[in-house]
Amino acid sequence: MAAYLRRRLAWLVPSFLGITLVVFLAVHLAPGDPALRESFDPGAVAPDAAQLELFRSEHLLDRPLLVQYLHFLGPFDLSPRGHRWFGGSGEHAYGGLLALDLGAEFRRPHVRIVDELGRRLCVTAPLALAAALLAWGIAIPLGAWAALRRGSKRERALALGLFTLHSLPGFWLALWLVLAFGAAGLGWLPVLGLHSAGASELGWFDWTIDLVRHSILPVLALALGSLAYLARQVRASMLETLSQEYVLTARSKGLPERVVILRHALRNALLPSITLAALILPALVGGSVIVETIFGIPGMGRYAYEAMLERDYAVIQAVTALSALVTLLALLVADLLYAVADPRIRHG
Amino acid sequence: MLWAALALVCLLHALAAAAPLLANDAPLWIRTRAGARFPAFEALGWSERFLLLCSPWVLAAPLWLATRSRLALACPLIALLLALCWQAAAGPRVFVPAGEWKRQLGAQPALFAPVPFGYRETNPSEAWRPPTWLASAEIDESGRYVGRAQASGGLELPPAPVEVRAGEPARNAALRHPLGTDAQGRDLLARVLYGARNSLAIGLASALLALVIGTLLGALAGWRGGRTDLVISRAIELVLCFPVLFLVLLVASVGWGSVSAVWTISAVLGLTGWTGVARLLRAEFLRLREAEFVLAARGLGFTETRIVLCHALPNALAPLIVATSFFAGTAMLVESAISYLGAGLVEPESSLGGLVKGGSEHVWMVLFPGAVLALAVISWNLLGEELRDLNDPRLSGEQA
Repeated sequence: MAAYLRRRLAWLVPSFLGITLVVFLAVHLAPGDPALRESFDPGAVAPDAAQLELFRSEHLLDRPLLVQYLHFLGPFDLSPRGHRWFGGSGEHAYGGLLALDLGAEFRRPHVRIVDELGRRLCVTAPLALAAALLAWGIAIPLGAWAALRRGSKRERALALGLFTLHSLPGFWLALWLVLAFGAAGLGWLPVLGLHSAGASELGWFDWTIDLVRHSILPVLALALGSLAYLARQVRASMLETLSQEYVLTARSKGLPERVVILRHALRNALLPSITLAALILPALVGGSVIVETIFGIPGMGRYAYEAMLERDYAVIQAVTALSALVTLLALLVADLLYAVADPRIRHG
Repeated sequence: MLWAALALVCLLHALAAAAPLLANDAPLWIRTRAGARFPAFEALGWSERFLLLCSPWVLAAPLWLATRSRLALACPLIALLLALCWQAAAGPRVFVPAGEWKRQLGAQPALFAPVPFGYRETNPSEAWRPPTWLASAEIDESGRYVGRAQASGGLELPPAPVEVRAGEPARNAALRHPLGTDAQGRDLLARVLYGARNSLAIGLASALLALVIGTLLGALAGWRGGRTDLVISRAIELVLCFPVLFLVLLVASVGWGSVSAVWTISAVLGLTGWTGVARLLRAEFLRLREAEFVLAARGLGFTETRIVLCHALPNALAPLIVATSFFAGTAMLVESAISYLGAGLVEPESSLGGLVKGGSEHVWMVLFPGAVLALAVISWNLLGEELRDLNDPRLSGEQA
């Protein structure tokens, strides 16, 4: 087990570096100039050449790509204000990913990216977590039921419904939720933001109610996308397990059907779901971009999307590095849990 | 069901390939004093001509497959040859501003496409018009809605006289704009058709790219094993963790010069989406490498290349096709999400996601493009599902 863990951890480093490198290259090779976009402001005068020059040198945009990547990686700050070893003034010697200092936004130099990421994550993470719990909570019983009742009329109808739901675009579903429950339709739930105007004056109880009412539709929109996929996976996995011989053995031992299903079949059928739970993270991150755009929620996804439109390299790299790191760690934890749950892997 | 799914996929692609024949603001045929002219075809490039020539073949593809005709394989080549000949015979490409033909056309005889509107042809006096078979879409001569004081929501433009150009249905004909119009009075049916064309192209192109990369790497990993397998397996895990949506957004949010965003988006989707195919093929090849017929082939002294291409690959083909057809559906979903966010294809090019984005407060602008997209994705997924059941009936809905 220890050797397995060591091997996995050793792979984590090159994987993470690989992903950050690819994103870095994609950011820098894609057309568009952050210097020109940064100074785009309807009221401002057009930037002169000297200003552009200054902006580029401050953010190392005029240096070779390798230097820029090393600057992003850290732990030494390679900018003119950076470490003395690299010809800087020494004001801000350490920075970059390894120093856990992601610098400031291009657009708003006074905003530290780490702080902003923290704020945004506090919005996105609870929503994503709630959506994941909701999706799994419905998908597991639904998938198990479908596998047990395979071929019945109701199961066929459910399969058709799940199949259709799985094929529908996420933003389309979210828009229908808005049209149906928002002010244009039934008017039951608010569809913009996470708080009503003036929510800060409410008592904590009313404030919480307000928050919950605002989050129902976004969470539903996030969950619906992965729900169908997960339920279909659980069904497939459950069908696979039910045909195993140990299920037959358990039945022929005369165990009650409930015990056979819950303890022998379902527990084994859910093993692959551990990895699946980690692998839907990128989909949830992607989904949060859409959902936060539709519902006007200031979360991570929206942050990343705005940064991409503005070509704010620092923010794009920070967000993608974070999402890659979270996915990699989740995969690692999933593999470890898998090994804990399945002795064949632990000793294999 | 399998043949129905296949026929649906083929029908959608054939319609998309033949889009210039189905919706066009330039007439297909007119008689001038100098003789007959074919304005709709004069604006086409060679690739569009190739697609047009391919569309009957695509439509008949289920028949070809059912009869296992060898001739079918030659058809794309014939179409390509014909397209090149046509290109050589035709004069230089003529660029006419959208709607110009219809304005210039007098009383001379002309034949129009079934939808006599171009996807970029604007008609500002009819902005945000609901589907014309609805009573609420009725407008009078000056462009004012008859039934109500205000059009539903959105921007209310000052009424302007409605211009009915040559070849178009009458002002209040039920089929004038069967799906309504968008913010600039462009016909939604034409825009949905061209948007679906782009979506289907992206789905197909990225799936083919993913199939090629995945097959190469998966075969290499599964057949070679050892160190090669280790490296490729790690690469697969790495690519699985990529934030795909971010990558496509990055590449697609700004155009790449003259290269259409259709191809850049397809390239990114294909380059990040090959993992499914590669994993499947690797697993199949690990199994097949030890299979007895492979041993037999080796014993006969066949070269490794011949064994892989003629013996192993045909046996692993079924799961590959299944994975590819599922991926085509997923790729279309990602593309539509990108264009919904406002990146991807730029105006006046049409994309299904972009159409929904442009009119998200009008029911017809959300319903029709989304439904067409859903139909396309469902047809790909259905094809994948039916093929999988054919190959491995354990998961099917039928009681085995």
